[in-house]
Amino acid sequence: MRAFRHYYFTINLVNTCFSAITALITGRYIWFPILFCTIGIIAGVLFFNNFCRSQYYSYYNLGYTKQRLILTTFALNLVPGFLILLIITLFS
Amino acid sequence: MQILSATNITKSFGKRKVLSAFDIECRTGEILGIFGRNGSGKSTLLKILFGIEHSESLQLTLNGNPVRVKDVIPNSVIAYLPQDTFLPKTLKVRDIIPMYFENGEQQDRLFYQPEIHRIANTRAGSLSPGELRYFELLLVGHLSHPFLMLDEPFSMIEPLHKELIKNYLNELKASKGIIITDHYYRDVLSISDRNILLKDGKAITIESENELADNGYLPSK
Repeated sequence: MRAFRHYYFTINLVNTCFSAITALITGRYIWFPILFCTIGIIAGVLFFNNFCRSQYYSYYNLGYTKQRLILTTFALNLVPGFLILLIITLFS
Repeated sequence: MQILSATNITKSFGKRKVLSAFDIECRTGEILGIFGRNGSGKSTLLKILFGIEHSESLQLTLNGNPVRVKDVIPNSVIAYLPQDTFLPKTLKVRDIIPMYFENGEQQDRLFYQPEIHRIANTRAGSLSPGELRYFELLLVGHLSHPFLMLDEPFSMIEPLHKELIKNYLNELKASKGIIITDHYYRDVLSISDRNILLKDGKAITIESENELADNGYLPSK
């Protein structure tokens, strides 16, 4: 679990930056939670594939396939993504 | 005793057939050495068995029961030490160990291995190549998988660490089956129970250093 946490935070660090910058540039804050749950994760995975690719071996040895890592990240991001979407909708 | 058996492994890169209906078997309690010239398919073979490289054909069994290659990782059948270093460079050794082992007793077993206490506060990116390789080997070796595949574990390792690794692998084989491939053939021969040479996509059984020379892996004497 601790290993997955490391993967999850690395992916979402890139994801959060990507989603926030895109939302700021477009000026439409509603895009932040939508990107955070979709394309932002893909950006994070692409970053990981390019700059931390060899680290996947750690996860493989611990029983995590790449597919499981990515799908779990998508699933876990739905909760904060939905909450942020709700907050933005309520206050805008 | 557990038996991992892979039959009919076939792999081509374009028109070049690297592994040609090749069979391999490993049992717990033994170290199997695999030799081969560069490009002979050693690393490819290990990646195929680990399930991260596609092959044209492969039947994998564990104790006679068929195993789908895509289940090797989720079912923790084989642990794998790849050629490339794979630890996060920014994390310290003492933070990486709990990532691999959540149980305190397992963590202690690793912390008390020779040399680990000395490097515990060093970041993985600051370790010497030899120290890093040694630490990575200990990490994958301590996992509970019944089989362990090592791709060039002696690469960049200083002589003192080599002896530590050999002793460790000899202890480890009591509970695991180990497949090892490395160009440091004398180190492999000194610990292996069986050896094969990959040549032209086929496996040739090797008994001695002389046979490595006879089959074109080493220069003729």
